[in-house]
Amino acid sequence: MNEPDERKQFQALVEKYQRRVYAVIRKMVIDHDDTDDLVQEVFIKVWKNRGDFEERSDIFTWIYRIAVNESLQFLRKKKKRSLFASGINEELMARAESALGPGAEEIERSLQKALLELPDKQRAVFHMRYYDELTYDQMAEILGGTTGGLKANYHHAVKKVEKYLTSSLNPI
Amino acid sequence: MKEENKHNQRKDPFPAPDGYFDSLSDRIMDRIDREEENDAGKGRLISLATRAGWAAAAVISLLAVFWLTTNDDTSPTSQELVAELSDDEIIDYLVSTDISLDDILDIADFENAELDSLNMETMPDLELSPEEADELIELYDLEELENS
Repeated sequence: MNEPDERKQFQALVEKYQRRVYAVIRKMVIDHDDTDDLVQEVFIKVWKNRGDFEERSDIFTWIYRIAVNESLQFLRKKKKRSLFASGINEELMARAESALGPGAEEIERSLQKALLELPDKQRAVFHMRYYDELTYDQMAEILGGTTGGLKANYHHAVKKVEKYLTSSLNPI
Repeated sequence: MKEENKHNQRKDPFPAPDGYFDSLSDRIMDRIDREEENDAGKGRLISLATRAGWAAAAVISLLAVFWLTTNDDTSPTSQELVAELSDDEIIDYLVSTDISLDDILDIADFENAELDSLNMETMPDLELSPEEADELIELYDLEELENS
C-alpha cells in the first residue's frame, strides 16, 4: 500500500474510534485538555507502531490497551510529581464535579466520587466492564492477567462502590 | 466487541465539548506530519554530526602522526640512565631491594659460561704471578678491603 492510501485509511480509523478512545481516557483522567493530549498521543503511537499490530487480534482491543496504558502512565506521573497522592484524587474529584455540572443527578455524582476512591487500575477494570461492557477475555488481553483475577477485581470494585454509595446516599 | 454505534449503552459521564471530534483526526494527522518531519530533521542532524565527528577524528589522527614523526625525543632511555649510575649506587640499590640472585640471573643476559662461573660455590684456583695479582688488586680496588 502506498503512503497516501495508508494515511487515508489511518485517518478513517481515527474517525471510527476517536469517540471511544476519548471516552476511555476521559473517564480515567477526567480533565478534557489532558484527555485531548492523550487521545492524540494514543493515535500517534498507533500510527508509529502500525507495523507491530498482529492481524489476529482485534484492532480496537489493541488501541484500547494503548489508551488504558497511556492513561495509567499519565496518572502515575501526575502522582509522582505531587507530594501527596491524595491531593491528585481531590483534584480529580473537583474536576469531575465541575465536568458533571450542576444538572448531574446525585447518584451519578456519587458514583464518580466512589470510582475515584478506587486504585487507578481497578477503576479501569470497572470502566471496562460497567461502561464499555467488555468481556473478561478482552479485559485480560488489554490489562494482562487472568479472567478469574479480573472477575475478582471487578467484584471487589463493585463492593467498594456499593459501600461508598450506601454511606453517601443514606448517611446515618 | 460492540460496534461503534452501540457505544455508550450506559450514559457517558464526561462527554466531549461540542464539535471536538470535527477536527480531531485532522489535528492528529497534522501532528504525525510534524513529528515525522522532526524525526527526519533529527536524522539529518545526526548524520551531519557524525560526519563532523569523523572529520575531527581524522584531523586529530593526522596531528598525532605528525607529532610522533617530527618530535625530537631527547629524553634518555633506561639503559642510558643506568649507565650514568656508579657501581656503588647500583650495589646500594640491589642491597636495599629484595631482589635475589636468581632474579638477577633471570633478567641479565649472561652467557652460559658466565652463569657457570656465577654458580660456582668456590673460587677457581688461580695461577697468578705476584705481578698479575697486584694488577688485579689494583684493578678492583681491593687494596682497601685487604687493609681494612
